[in-house]
Amino acid sequence: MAVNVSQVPGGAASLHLAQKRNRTLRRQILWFMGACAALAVVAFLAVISATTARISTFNEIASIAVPSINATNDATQLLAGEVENTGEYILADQGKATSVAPGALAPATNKQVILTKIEEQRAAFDLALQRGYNALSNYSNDIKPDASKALLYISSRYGRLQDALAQARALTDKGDLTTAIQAFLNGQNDNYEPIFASLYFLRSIHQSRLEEAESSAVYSAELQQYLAAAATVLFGATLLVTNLWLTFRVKRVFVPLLNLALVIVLIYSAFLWSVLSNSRRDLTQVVATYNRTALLSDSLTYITDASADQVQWVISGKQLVGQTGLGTGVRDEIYNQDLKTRLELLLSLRTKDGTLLVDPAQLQDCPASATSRTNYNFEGNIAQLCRELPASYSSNNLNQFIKAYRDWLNMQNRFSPLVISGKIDDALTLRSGDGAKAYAFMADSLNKERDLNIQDYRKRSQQGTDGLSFATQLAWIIYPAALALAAAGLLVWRREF
Amino acid sequence: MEMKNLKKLSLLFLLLLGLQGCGAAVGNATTSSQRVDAVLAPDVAVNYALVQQNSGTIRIYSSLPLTGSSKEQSLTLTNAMQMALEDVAGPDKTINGFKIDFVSLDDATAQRGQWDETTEKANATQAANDPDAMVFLGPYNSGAAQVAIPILNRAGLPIISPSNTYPGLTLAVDGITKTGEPDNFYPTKTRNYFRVVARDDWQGPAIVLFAREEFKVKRLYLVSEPDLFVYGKGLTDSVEREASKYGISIVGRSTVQERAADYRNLARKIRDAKPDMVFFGGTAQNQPGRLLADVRAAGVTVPFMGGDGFNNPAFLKSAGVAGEVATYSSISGVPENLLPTKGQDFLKRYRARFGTPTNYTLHGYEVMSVALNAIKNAGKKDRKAILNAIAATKNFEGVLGRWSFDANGDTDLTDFAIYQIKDGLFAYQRQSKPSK
Repeated sequence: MAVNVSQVPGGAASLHLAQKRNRTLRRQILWFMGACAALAVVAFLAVISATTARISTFNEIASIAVPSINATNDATQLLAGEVENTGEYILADQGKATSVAPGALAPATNKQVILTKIEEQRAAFDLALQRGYNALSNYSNDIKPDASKALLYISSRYGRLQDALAQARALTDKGDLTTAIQAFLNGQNDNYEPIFASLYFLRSIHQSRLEEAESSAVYSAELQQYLAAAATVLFGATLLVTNLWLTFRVKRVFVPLLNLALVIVLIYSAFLWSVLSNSRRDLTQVVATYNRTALLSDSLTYITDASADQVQWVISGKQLVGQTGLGTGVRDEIYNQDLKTRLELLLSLRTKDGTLLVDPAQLQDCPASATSRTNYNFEGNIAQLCRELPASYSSNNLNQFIKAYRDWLNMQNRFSPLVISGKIDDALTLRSGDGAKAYAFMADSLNKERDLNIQDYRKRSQQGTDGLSFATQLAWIIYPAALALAAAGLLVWRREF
Repeated sequence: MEMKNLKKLSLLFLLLLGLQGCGAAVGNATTSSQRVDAVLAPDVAVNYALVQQNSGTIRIYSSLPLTGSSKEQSLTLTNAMQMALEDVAGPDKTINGFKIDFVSLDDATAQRGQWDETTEKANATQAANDPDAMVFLGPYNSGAAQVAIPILNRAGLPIISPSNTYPGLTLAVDGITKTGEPDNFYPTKTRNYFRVVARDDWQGPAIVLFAREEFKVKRLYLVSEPDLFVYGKGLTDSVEREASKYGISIVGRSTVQERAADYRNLARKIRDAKPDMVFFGGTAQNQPGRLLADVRAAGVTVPFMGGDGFNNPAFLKSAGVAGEVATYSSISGVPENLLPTKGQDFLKRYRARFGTPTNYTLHGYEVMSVALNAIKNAGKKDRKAILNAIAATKNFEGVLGRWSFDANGDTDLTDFAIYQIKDGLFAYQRQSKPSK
C-alpha cells in the first residue's frame, strides 16, 4: 500500500527537511567540486609556468652556449688556417704555387696576400677566443680550471705558436729557409695540439651545458605534454559525462554555458598539447643541430689540417748532400700520417680486419632517404652527420662534400708520388689547381650545411619560444575564463530548477 | 817420413774441420740441431741460434713506434740507446772485437698511428733472419711484444723491453692474464724475454696505494682502452683487483671506443656515478686527452689518473688545459734526484745533447747497457751465450739503480713514481711502492 507522506503526521515537514538537507548537500558537493576544479586549474597553470621557466632557462643557457660553440668552432678553424697559411707563405717565398693564390702571382705579392689573411685570422682568433672564454663566467663555478686560468694557458701557448710562426716568416724573408722551416715545424708540433685540445675542452663545456639544459627542459616539456594530454582527455570526458548525465538523469539535454566552457577548454588543451609536442621536438632538435655544427666545424678543421699537412710534408724534407731546393730529400712521415688520420676522421671505411681505409672509389654518397641514412656504414664525422641528419634535411650538401672529397683524395693520390719522385713544382701546381678547387667545394658544402643548421636552430628556437610563450600566457586566460563560464552555467541551470 | 806425412794428414784433417766450422759460422751449412730448430720455427727460414763467431759484426735491433704520436717519446729512447752504445762500446763501437751495429726499426704505421701487428711481425722476422742479430730491444707496447716474442723465441734471439708492463708476458696472474699465458708466447719453452720495467700487477697496487693514501678514495670509476689493446685491460684489471682488496667500490667500468668524436655521454655517466677518482687504463694514442676534456667539461673535478701509458708528451699535448686539474700518472722508477749518480749524470748529458728526456728515456739507456754488458760477458757471437748472459744479470749497476732479473725475466725494481701535470709538464709528486 502506497503511503502519501503528506498524510503522515509530520511527514511534510520531514520531507521538506530531507529535501533541504539534499539541497544543502548538493550545494556543498557543487562548491567542493568547483573548488577542486579551481585548484586543479591553478595547479595545472603553476606546473605549466614552472616547467616553462625551466625551458626559459634552457633558452638562456642556449643564448650563451650557442654563440660560444660558434666562437670556439671559429677559433679552431682560424688556428688551423693560420698554421696552414704560414706553410703557404714559405711556399710563396720560393715562387711555388700555393692554394691561397693558385694564379701566377709574384712571390712578394703572393706573400702579401697570405700575410693579410694571417693578420685577419689572428685578430679574429683573439676575438673568438675571448668570446668563448668570457661566456664561462655565466656558468656555475664547478668548471675547473676556471676561465682565467684556462685563458692564460691557451694564450701562452698561442703566444708561443705565434712567435714560432712569425719567426718562421721572418727567417723566410731573410732567405734562411732551413731555419725557417725548422722554426715553423717545431712551433707547430709543440703548440698546435695543446691549443686545439684546449679549444675542444672549451667547446665541450658549452656543449655539456647546452645538453644538460636541454635534458632538463625536455623533461619539463614532457611533463607539460603529459599534463596537456591529461587535461584534454579530462575535459573531453567531463563534457561527455556531463551531457549524458543531464540527458538521462536530469532530463536536461544541454547546459549552454557549461558546455561552452568545456568545449573551449577541450580545444585549448588540444592546442596546448600540440604546441608542447612541437616545443619538445624543437628542444631536442636544436641541441642536435648544435652538435652537428660542431661536427661540421671539426670536419672543416680536418680538411684545413690535411691541406696544412701536405705543405708540412713537402717542406719537411731534410736536405741531402748535393741536393738543394724546397722539399727535396727525406721528408718527415709524421705529416703524412697526420694527414691520413685527418682523412680517417673525416670519412673512411672500416675493413673487415678493423682498419680504416680511405679509398675514393669505395666512398658512397649519403642516401636521400632518412631510413637508408641510418644504415650508412662508414666511419668519421661525415658518416655520423649523414646518419644523424633529420628526415626533413636534404643530403645534397653532404653529397657535394663527398664528391669534392673524392676529387681531393684523387688529387692527393697523384700528389704524393709526384713529391716522392722529386717533382715538387708539379705536385704543388696540382695541389693549387685541382686540390684548391676540391678544397673550396668541400669547405663551401660544409659551410652551407653549417649555415643551414644555424638557420634551422634560430627558426626552431624562435618558433618554439614564441609558440610556447603564447600558449602558456593564453592558459592563464582560458582556464579561469572556462571555469567562470562553467560556474555561471551551473548557477543558471540551478536557478531554472 | 811417415811421421811427417801423418802430421801433414792431421793438419789437412784439422784444416778441413776448420773450414767446415767456418762454413757453419756464416750460415751456409745446416747442422742436425739447426734442422730440428727449423722444424720448430715455421715463420723463420733459417735458425741462427747456434751460429758462433769470434769477430765481425753484432747487430742490435730496436723496434719502437717511430711514426705517430709516440714518435717524440720513442726518439728519446733510441737517442738513449745510441748514447749507451757510445758509453759502453766506445767511439769505435766495438766489444770483444765485434763491431756493434745498432738498427732502429719502426713498428708503427701511418695508417694506425701506433704500433701495427704486421709491421711488428716483419721487424721480428727481419731480426730473427739476420745472422748478425744478437739482441732485440723493444717493443714499446705490450701487445706488440705478444707478436714479437714467439717469432724471436723460435730464433733464440734475446729480447729486452724498456716499457712492456703487461704481466702475462712473463707470468700468469689471476684475474689479469689469460689462460695459457705466458707459456704460449714461448714455443721452444726456453725464455728469451726480459724487461727493465715493473709489471702491471705491481703498477695497479701502486696506483691504488697512491689513491688511498693521497685522496682516501672510496669510490673509483675505471675506464680502459678497447680490449684489443692488451695493456689497458690488464692494467685496469690490476687496479680493480687491488681496489677490491681495500673495499674501494668500483662505481663503474667502461671501455672507450677507438677514435670516438667525443666522450660526453660517458663523462655524464662518470659524473652521475659520483666517483672519488677516475682511472684510465690505456695509452695516449687511445684518446685519454679527449676523454679528460669531456670529463672536466661535465664538471667532474676529482683526480683523473692513468698508468705509464700516458706518461708521455703525446698525452700532455692532447690533454691541453684540461690536464691542469688533478691529473696524475704513474711510471716505473724513481725521480731524478733519487737516481744513482750514473742515472743523474746520464740525464744531464742527454739534456745537453738532445734536449728534454721523457720518463722512459732512462729505460732506453738501460736496455742497451744490459745488452752490451751481456755481449761483453758472453765473449762470443752466439745468441744462446748472450741470452744466458742476459738472464744472469744480477746486481746490475745501471742508470735505474742496482737491480737483477728474476727467473721470469722481470726486474726486481718495483718502485713507481707518481707525476702530476703542472704547466704542461709532468711534475714529480711522490713514490708509491706497493708491498706484496
